[in-house]
Amino acid sequence: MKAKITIILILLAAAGAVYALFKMGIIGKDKRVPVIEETPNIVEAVEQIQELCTEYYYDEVMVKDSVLKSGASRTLTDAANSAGNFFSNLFTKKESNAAEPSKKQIISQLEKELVVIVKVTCRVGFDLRQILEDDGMQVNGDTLFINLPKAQFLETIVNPTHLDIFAESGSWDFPQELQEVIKYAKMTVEQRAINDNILEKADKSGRKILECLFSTMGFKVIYTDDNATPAVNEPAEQLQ
Amino acid sequence: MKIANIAAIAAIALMASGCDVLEEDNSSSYSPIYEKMGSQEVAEFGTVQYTVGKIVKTSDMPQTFWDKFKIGDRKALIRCTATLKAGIDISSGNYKVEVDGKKVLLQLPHAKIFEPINMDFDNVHLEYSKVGLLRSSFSLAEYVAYLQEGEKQILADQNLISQIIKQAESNAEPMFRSMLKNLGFEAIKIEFVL
Repeated sequence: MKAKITIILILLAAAGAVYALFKMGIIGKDKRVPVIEETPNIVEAVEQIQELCTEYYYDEVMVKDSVLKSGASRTLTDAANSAGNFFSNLFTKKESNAAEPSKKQIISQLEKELVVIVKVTCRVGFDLRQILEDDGMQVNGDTLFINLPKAQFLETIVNPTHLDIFAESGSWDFPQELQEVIKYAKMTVEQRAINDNILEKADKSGRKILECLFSTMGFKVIYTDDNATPAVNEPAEQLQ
Repeated sequence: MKIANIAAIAAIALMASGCDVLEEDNSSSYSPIYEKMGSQEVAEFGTVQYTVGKIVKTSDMPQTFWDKFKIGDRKALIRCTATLKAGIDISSGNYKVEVDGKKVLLQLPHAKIFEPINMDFDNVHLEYSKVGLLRSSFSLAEYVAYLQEGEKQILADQNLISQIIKQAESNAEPMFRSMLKNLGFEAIKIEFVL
């Protein structure tokens, strides 16, 4: 009896040890923290800008990419699937339905698969150079005439911390194939932002901000541009 | 009996330590701005843009006891650039204007870095990668994790951040001065105090 209790306790201790080591990240690699060396940040360029950002647009896109097997690898998989179906039908006496491949078969035909959740931020606003340098502001007494340029996408941002690689199998080319995924995500979000009237919102916010700023200086602001419906500033390509 | 006692104590101690670690793991971290999707109205006057280059260097440093027994190298060098914009944010109406005839005093908040920074993937290049025969190749998830660390290092560089903020304020001053001059003001004073 004593021996049995000892064995049970030793087994429990061993299980506890394995669990504790796993949770501490000593064994298993799921909880690994990536380590990079400390390297300097080199300033490559400093540019003076004059812009007014009036709207941020946040959105998230799930991008799924997959490549099917080809050549000998595909033939081998198909043969294995056919053999599996044959034996399965033989023992279970199910009616074979060769025309419709099962989900399991489709997955086995994939050479590689990637599912990425991409968080995209668009900064939308105005290039103020067009106002400040090109006589965009005219004063007549206490009235200020502003020729406001069209609202545009100032930046569409996807950072590494905005990426969540949800599923990955097979070998993917870095960074080329990831760049394609991000390009698609940016295009999708820009198009969604346009459909969500972000340029109109940015235009309206910009007018409100300038009006508020200059009215505190005692000016009555009148906009002389005809941007009631701002034009789309290169929304990338139209999505299919 | 002694062995049974020792084993019992060891089991309880190890399970307790495992439970402690489990509690620590619950603290997940993600960017909070994405808690709500959609748009947000802001008023950010951008005055400077810095392009910062960085080499992300990862050389298979052993992190655990078992890592020391791994045979073969696994290292990579990734070159990337980040664009950091900074300027004056008056989104919360935090500015003051005092007008006295042709004199004007404009009080603005201090400059800040506009987040998120832009670490564009189009400027990411894998310069070098070496994986030993007995080691698994780098996955996309691993490369992204290394870049995430690189991004954090850029944002943690306080010297760089303060340099950008200083430059943003010295660029903002002539921008607002020129704007006020266009409005006909003759004596212009701009302060960054708020």
